Amino acid sequence: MSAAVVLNGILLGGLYGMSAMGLSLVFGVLRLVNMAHGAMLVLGAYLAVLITAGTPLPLPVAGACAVLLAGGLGYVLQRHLLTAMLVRGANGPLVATFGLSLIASGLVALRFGSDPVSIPTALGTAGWSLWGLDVRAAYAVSFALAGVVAVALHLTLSRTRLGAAVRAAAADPRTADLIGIDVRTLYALVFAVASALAALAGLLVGVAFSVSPQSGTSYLLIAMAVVVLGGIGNVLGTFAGAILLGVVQTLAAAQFGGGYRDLVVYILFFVVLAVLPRGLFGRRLT
Amino acid sequence: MTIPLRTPDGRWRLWPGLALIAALAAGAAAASGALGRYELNVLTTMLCYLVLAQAWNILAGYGGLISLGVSAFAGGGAYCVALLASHTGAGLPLTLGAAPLLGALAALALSVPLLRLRGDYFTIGTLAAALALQAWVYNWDFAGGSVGLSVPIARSPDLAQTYLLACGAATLAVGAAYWTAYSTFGMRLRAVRDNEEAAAGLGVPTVRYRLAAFVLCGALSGLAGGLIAYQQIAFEPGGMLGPGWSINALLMCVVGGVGTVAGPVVGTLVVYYLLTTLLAGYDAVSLVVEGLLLVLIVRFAPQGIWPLATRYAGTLLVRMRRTA
Amino acid sequence: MQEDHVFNGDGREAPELIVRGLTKRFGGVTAVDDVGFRLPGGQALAVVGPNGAGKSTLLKLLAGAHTPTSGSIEFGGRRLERASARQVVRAGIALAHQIPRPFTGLTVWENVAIGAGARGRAAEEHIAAVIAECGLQDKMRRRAENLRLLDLKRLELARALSTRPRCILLDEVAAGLSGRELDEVIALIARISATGCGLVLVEHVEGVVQSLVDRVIVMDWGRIIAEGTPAQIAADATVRQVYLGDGARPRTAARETPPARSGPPLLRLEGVDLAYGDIPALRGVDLEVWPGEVVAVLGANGAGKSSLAAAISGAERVRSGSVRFGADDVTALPAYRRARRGIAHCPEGRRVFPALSVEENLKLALPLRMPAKEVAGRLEDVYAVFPALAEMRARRGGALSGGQQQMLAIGRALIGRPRLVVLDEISLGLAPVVIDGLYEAIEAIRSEGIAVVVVEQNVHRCLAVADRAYVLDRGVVSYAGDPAPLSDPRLLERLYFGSPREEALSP
Repeated sequence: MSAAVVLNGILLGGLYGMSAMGLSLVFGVLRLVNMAHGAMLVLGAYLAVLITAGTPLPLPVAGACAVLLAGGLGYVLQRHLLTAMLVRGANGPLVATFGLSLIASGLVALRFGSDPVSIPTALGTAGWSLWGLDVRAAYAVSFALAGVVAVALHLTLSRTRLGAAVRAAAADPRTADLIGIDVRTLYALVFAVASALAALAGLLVGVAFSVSPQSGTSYLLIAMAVVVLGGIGNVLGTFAGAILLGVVQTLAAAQFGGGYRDLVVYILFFVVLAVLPRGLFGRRLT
Repeated sequence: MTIPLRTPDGRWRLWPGLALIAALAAGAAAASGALGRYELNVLTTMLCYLVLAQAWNILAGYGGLISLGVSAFAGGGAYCVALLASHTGAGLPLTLGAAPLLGALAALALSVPLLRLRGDYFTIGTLAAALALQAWVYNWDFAGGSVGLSVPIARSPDLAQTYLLACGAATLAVGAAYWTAYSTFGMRLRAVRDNEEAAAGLGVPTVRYRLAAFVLCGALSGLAGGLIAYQQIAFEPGGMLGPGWSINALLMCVVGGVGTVAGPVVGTLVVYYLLTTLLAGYDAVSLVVEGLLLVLIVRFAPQGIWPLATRYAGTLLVRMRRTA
Repeated sequence: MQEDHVFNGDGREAPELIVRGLTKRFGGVTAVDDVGFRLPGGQALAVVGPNGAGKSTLLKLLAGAHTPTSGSIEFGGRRLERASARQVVRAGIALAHQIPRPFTGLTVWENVAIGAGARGRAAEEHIAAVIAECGLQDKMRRRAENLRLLDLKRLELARALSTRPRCILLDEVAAGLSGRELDEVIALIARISATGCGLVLVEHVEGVVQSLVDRVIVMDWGRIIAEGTPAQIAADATVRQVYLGDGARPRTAARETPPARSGPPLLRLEGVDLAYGDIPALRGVDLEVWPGEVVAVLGANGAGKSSLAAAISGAERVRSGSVRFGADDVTALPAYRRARRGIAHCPEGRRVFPALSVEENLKLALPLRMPAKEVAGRLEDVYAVFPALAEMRARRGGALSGGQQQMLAIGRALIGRPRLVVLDEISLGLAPVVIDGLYEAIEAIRSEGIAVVVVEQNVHRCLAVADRAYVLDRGVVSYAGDPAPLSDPRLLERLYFGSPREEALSP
């Protein structure tokens, strides 16, 4: 029983890791706290719902379209709105992304109402047996997908020349500019990837649970908790932090009841922020 | 002996402005008899928002700390009033006195982890604190859990009384903001905001000043929450402890002008009119409008509309004088 | 006495400042190394030395902004080496920073009032007196963010004075000023000094030092290398060597094949103005570089050398004037696009990416689309110039020594096969033997036909390789042409130790 709980917690952590990776990337590279990350996640799920409803496309294709759309939206937002504010500094970007999150959840509520929506698939309700333990199929798929994305992202950042350019732009944008790196385009690219990852996470959340226009805030907080736990800009650390959070949350829910799921996240987050502001695994990118 | 109205550098001294605020408040209070139920209700809500906005303004505009944890203090004040009134039978003065006290104590307690954090981390930390409180209350049966609480109606003030109390609270909040803007305390707080290291180098105990701003903000927000509890009578944690208070306080200040006394007043009027009168009942549309307003203001008028308007009026005045 | 009231606390004589064995290490770098001196009450001391000698760090240690690794600071019998900045201010030592750091959202009056402490009529009179003494009375209500440079300097002084100091530390308060503005600040400092307030000056503008101080200490590599009266220091051979470079090698004979300066120049700056906010850095600078030549840019600290480098590479946008590269006007292009066109800038302080490996640092400067095979070839080209880099290609940039980092920075500038390389202060903080190696590399670069702009404090080294030289003086080109006359020690002395009010140098 308890082993199954832990395993489900680990797998749930994969979903959280997917939710947090984009936030971590943007925070690490652009030094931007993207308050609209949760809204982008929710938007991804609703976009997939919209596309499946309006076109004959099968869900995986519709989901891919939603992810690409979110990425494009992220690119445009960063390129044409946020970069100018980042240069000016201060609290502008934070407040602006907060405003963007309000717009996104308002628009979603306008189109779909405020009731939760889930993406209907056989995956959402299926259960599998792993090593003799019962797990939710949606969790397992999310975990696998998140694992693949985390490793791919990590390898891209650490092994490729594009990744080195991203790390250079994160550490010292002025010098990066000086040696021929187009920092603004790189920033927009990073924001686009982060938005696409958020949308993908939203898709998985929509399959595994449900989303509502308001759930952006709680996923933003979950993602931030994961980022703070794992260390900003540290992809593998983020993944590890997410697994830790998933296990702690699942155990707490099993012990004290489902009502304590969110409370555990916030308290853990708060404690880590106060005690270990650098996270459990340290900064990696810069 | 003449009483100096202005400081040697030509700014107004504190007391003329405070006197003006008190006079305005007295006028607003005197009007209570002439107002109907609807107006009283609307104005009370607006004044409560004004208190929250000014509290946020003191912390963000003068202290440089952006909080998304308004609900922790406002909701805390509301729960404090409802719990005290229904369980101890305490009267209005005691409960309304306890609400800001609780807000101040909450700020003091939260300052231990939060004031060590800088910039964006502080903002995230306040959001986490607020949501933690909400999640906790959902599970706290003594405080009504997810159903919420109500204030015993017999011990609640009537509409006109609540309005008068809100007038008093708003006077206090605007006065506190004015004091922060023009006093030595506020001057040093702004110095800490602009350059903490240099302020310390000139002998300012920086941590104490930030803490004072945080506690003042917490106390005022708690007071507003207490009044809101008396006005709403019944409330549930989804709204009372949700992010709505933070969104509105931030929006009102950013729209009107953070770091000015008049800005949040103007912002409260504009935003409140927009939300309750024009967009009443269209929750989703108001969210979109709020968001658009934030993005547009930050992008095109980062100082807010009040400083923009005064500057425009100033140049207009100069031009008129020249042509005259 | 009003003056004493303004500047010197209660008007009593200032206490003596005694510093013993003061040392400060940042990681492995010793910024201040065993520094000791006595400053009798009310006297004035100047600290001079080249960039990176540790002067500013010394002042920050005295002001309590940094805590020393070891050593002691005694002021009027009180030990202050462990005191916080607040406590040091209370004890009567105030620091005015090199770059004014006002509270931007506060008015001039409020900026001064922060340090004045107590409230009430007496404090207001004190604030008003300080403001008047610093010549800011007409701008009391203005926000600091709207002040011009001279007023910011005055405000920085006023803020230090507002704390009623009995010893005041001034970090290059004259930097960036000239002419009448400079005279005004000198007169103000002289008045402060005359009231019996102790004074420690870090200064490059020689006239300030000459006219204001009793004693001078010269620092290099964090240590005191000479001490004496201003006249003694000006005549000291060691000091001259520190300022003008080691001079190990006299100017080499004229180059075998001086580059033909025919055809249009590769780089042409015309009437370039550059400013940081209100602080002008370059004024009407004209400069030309032909293919294959080495051009030296000389000048004292703060003369605008690095700003000129930034104007060429696009690291800073120019206010007016034009930058042409080859046939194109590149004035409006951002740095990364100029880099892709063939202008490489090796910035001051090396700016190696510490978390990236040597090889990654080098590859960054190549286009992402370049085929792997060619990338490998380019790397080998750099390793051929700097074999030491090849041995540590996998090591992190942050783990290299200063000299190796400089090689990496130059290699990173060369790997893109630029047509022009700007080398900004490549010998800063490096040992002579390392500098030898770097200058050999410059010869190698030139032999490839690449034009080189060398920005240097190390005059002798620089002149030895230069085909032509420019001298900057407070943002203006004061000499342009043949480097040979600059080897005349008297001319160099006027350049580095001359009076600040002297007109432009002529050969």
